[in-house]
Amino acid sequence: MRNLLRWLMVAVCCLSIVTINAQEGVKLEIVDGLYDIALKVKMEKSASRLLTEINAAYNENRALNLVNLGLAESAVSGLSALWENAHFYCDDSEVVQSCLSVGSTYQVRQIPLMIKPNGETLDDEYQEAVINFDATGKITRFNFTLSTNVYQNVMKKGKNVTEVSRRQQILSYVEQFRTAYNEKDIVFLENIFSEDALIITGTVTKVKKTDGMGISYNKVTYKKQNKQEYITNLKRSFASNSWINVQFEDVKVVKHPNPLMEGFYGVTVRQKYSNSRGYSDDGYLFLLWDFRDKDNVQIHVRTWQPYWMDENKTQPIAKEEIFTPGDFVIDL
Amino acid sequence: MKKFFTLFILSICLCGILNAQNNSDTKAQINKIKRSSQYLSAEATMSTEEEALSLARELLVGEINDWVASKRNGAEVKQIVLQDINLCAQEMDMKRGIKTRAFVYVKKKDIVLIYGDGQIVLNNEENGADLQALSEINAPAQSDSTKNVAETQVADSVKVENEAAPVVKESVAEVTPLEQILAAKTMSDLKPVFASLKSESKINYGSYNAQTVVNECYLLFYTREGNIKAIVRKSGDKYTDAKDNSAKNIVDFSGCGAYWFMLK
Repeated sequence: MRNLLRWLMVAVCCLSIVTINAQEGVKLEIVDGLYDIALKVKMEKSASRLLTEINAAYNENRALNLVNLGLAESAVSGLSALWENAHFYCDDSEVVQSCLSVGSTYQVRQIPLMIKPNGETLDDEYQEAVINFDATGKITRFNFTLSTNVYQNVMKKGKNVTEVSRRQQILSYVEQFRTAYNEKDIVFLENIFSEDALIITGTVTKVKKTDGMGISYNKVTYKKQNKQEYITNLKRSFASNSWINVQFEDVKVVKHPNPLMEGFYGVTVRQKYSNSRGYSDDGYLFLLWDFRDKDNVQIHVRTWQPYWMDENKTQPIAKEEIFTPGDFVIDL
Repeated sequence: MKKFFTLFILSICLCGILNAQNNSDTKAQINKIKRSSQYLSAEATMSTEEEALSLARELLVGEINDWVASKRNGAEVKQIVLQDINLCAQEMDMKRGIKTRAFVYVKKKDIVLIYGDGQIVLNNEENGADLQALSEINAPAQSDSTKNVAETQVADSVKVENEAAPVVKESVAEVTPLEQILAAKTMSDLKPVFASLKSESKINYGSYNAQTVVNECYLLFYTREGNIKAIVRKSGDKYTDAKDNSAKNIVDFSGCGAYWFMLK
């Protein structure tokens, strides 16, 4: 009886371990949105192999082996950098999703991941990923996505096909921009900011009125940096932190109101930033994107304003205080 | 004591395994529905079950609209009859870490497309001819002979109604408008009754929308085949059968088409 119980115990423990570990074999299936069968099969196979490798690397706690997976160089470097910052696994052994066309490229969204950051302080966290494919079905990028509701809210404001397509493109860049912080991809960030980019960061300062009433109020003071200063500070931050976690919420995309600024879009996001050294902040990030040249998309303005105006986090910044595209004049 | 402890650990492990198995069954079921061409579905993972369900439903509405737009003559669809997405859609939820995943789906055959104008509000010219049974609106495949018969019947009824309007008025003078409506068994029966009441300015009606419907009115539920399932008196959140005053639950009419009406 005692022996039987012991064996049972061992068997159940083994089963538990198998259940707790990420399921290694992952099969991705595209059910809709792509009608070229050969391309569909190629994309499914390639994505399934990638997700299977991710789960194997997670279980074995090793580096990703992306050789022979047929990924584009941009996907290999991006994923390797991301893996150094955070380990994750695909939560499902079967992923069934539809395919989105973005211009001549493709996306498969809502890939369910569980992230285990290298830091001790962050819990396992659910995050969706998007796999980007080029027109031939080769994987070009693996990005963490904006949440589905954020994505949906931006997309439903697209009034016609061109606008929907432009919004898709903008969000794709925003997702890559966000993932670049997790990847510590300084090259992408250096390239995406224009040489004359205006970078503004805001901090809340307490000001005391001098009218004798002793009333104090909060005021945001802004600090201007040029691209080089910002990139130097960013490199320092990347070097001193084992991980950086950036999340984007409440994304708002606005076309520049000036008809002469065709192709310029303002993107306002609520950014929640945290890093391995225990620093965190919560604020509105405003980015003025220039989509005039689709092969050389640039950011001309980046501003950050705190979300909370007081230490007790009871008073959010007034909506009219948040920067919009019309607040900036760009020399074309 | 040792045995007891071992059994305790065993039961905890077994619970974990069973839970994982249950999760995996739900995932398999979700994927089966996603693969099926008979369904439209959407999913969302959010911090709370309520948020996830709300977003998934919103996404499902988008899926339904896209599906309608992709259909032949999709642009001509004036109305989609899906009684209440909260009632029609089936829901599943499961945990993803500390978040909750919600999955909602609806059978394509339960979505009824209404083509053409004026299904809802009669004007004087239309005189009730627009009030169609769902079976007619949905236009299932019919043989030519059946179709001809149906068309003839509709044409005849309109003709009789126009010629014999005074007679109808006289003969219905003794019964109340509600009794006339209650006597109708099908939407085809109901059509001339509504037309007559409308011409006498005795009725207001429109298609039912849970969000906008007034507190005090009657609701008329009908099946896809055009049979009237029930006429219910709505008083705030209370629903009573107009025939026998029995209490009704709106959930019982999930999947039905519905109109509201008010008698003057």
